[in-house]
Amino acid sequence: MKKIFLFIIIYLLINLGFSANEFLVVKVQTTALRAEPRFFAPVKIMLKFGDQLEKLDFQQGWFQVKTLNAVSGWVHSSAVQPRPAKLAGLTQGPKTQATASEMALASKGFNRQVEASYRQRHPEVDYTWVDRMLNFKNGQAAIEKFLKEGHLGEWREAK
Amino acid sequence: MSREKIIALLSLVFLLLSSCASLQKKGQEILEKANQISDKDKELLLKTGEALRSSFQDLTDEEEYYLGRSVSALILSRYKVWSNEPATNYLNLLAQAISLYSDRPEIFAGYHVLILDTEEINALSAPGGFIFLTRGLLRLCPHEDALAGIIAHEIGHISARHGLQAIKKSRLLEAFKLLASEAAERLSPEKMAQLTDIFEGALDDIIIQLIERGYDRKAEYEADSLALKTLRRIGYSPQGFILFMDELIKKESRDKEKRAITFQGWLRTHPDPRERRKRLETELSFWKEEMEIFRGRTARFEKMASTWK
Repeated sequence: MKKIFLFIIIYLLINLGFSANEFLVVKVQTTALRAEPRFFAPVKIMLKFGDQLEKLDFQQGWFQVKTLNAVSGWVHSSAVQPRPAKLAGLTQGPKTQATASEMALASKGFNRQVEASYRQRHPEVDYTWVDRMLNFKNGQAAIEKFLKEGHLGEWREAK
Repeated sequence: MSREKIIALLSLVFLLLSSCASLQKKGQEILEKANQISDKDKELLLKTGEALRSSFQDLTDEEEYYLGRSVSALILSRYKVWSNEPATNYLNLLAQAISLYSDRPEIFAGYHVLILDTEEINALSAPGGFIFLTRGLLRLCPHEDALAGIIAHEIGHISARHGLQAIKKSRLLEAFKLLASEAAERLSPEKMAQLTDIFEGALDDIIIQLIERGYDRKAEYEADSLALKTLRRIGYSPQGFILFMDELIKKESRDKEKRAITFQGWLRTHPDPRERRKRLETELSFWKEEMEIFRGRTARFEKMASTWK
């Protein structure tokens, strides 16, 4: 009798666990898929805006996910959002990421086109420094070195 | 309850749950097959999605970024940029490191800092991760830990979307309504013109708040609390932030005597530094944080500070 109970419970757990395969979508320009749920873990691949991910687990601000090409790893929760209904369906067929038209659909709103339209009306507003400041980027290695030198973050105890 | 009844009940639960799960799966399968959703259904889904948006919190990260780009361009039409490459690189490194320990480490295009070439003491941030620090403010910073506090405060404003809160609700509703009424991939020229009007209005709302009126007190204190949380996670001394408030108080009384204008922008847009200091101290008293500032940070800060003194 105990065996039957155990079987039922295991079956229920498996069934519930696998039936609700949730999908997430990358909402930032680029983010890393990491080997572990922390920022300084090795990067497996880079993900880009609109990439779809199957949710496997959640742990303290990090989602464990699998890409449509079956690469699994961890992404920070601030880089993803639940997949909008309008993007469902793209997991079928060829294992590619969202098509250009679908992404255009996803990004309708205050976007590049609206900025272009605003700039046409206001040619006096200069975006040179805005574009320049966006290039001030530091890679993971530079940030890690900076934190280590300052005894900060994961390296704060090392005195 | 007899054992037979328990088994019967469990079997029923089991059957119900598995049928729910299979139904759920069926629904999902239908949704997954793009070719089974007609264009009309897609339109409907899109319209429903847009109609459901109602507040600034519903703006996407991408929309936040595009608003922030133009807000930044408008800030930069009022100030000159101080093009000091080593100092700018240092501040970007500092901000990007701090952001990883904030409540919102990832943002559409990352966090970026620019120095404004003015004696005025001020720090501004535009939605989407754009931070502006004036040369006057940098000169007032006694150490990296104080600077970290200021940057963590600005990241707090950005991560809590305080800038977007300034956009009038009626404007946002108008935008969401307009977007919901258009199912085509590209907006018609007429609709695009209308959306651009709304965009322009939203930029005005944000700029007035940032430069003229300042965030409300609640948002300022929230950004201070978020800053303390971030500083604690990364390991900067939160006391460094309090020491900066002391510098502000000292400078304020000196400037009052001289009737200098360097402070006017800051005072118009920020709460009294004495009040902020009091609140920060109260929060810190629960934490019993150490005051220690690591010497290794002092050296790199002083090297940079010599460029902006």
